[in-house]
Amino acid sequence: MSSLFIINNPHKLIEALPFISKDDGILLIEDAVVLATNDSDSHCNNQYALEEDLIARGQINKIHTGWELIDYPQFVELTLTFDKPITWV
Amino acid sequence: MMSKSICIVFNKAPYGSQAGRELLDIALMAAAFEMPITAIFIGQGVYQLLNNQQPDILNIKNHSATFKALPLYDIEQILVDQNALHQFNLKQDDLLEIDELQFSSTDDIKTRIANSDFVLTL
Repeated sequence: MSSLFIINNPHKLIEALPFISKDDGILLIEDAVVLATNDSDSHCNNQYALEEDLIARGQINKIHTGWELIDYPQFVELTLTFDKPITWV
Repeated sequence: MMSKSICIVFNKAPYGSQAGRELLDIALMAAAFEMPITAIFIGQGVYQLLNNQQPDILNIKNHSATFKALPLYDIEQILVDQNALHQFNLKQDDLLEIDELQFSSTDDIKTRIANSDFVLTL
């Protein structure tokens, strides 16, 4: 079973990482999107960041290559692609 | 139909927020529907299990006794992250006396989370 870990705060990624496998996904939303601009690590094979939240914070041009930009329709699709979403707050 | 399994992940200390109490309520509710439940304590969530809690002094209801009642509701999978205990210098003696407490490795907890149908944090 693969899970999509939805992270909305930068501190929470550090907490969740020990429980994330290579086949899982990480989706950064809200305040957590800044991680996509300063975290070049590859934590798992599927790393996404929500485009709207990056634009809102003026960070859209600073995104690292390790993170794929997605919009809301793709967000919905991802929740179906993985076996389950986990909102890690 | 097989009931879906659920992991309830406590990752916050008590009284700074209502998360612990609300997750407990969810656990008891899910138990009433006979869902297989695993209660998991990681990070600062291990502070939920400290014994001798007296939040009455803050005019907050003490929910810690309810953790001891989890097995009565057939919630017998209670995992505590050994790593977190070590990190906060806590020993088994510091925790509530719950026979069903399992001191688990981070990897064991990771597997449990991966294999359950639902995972809740609050």
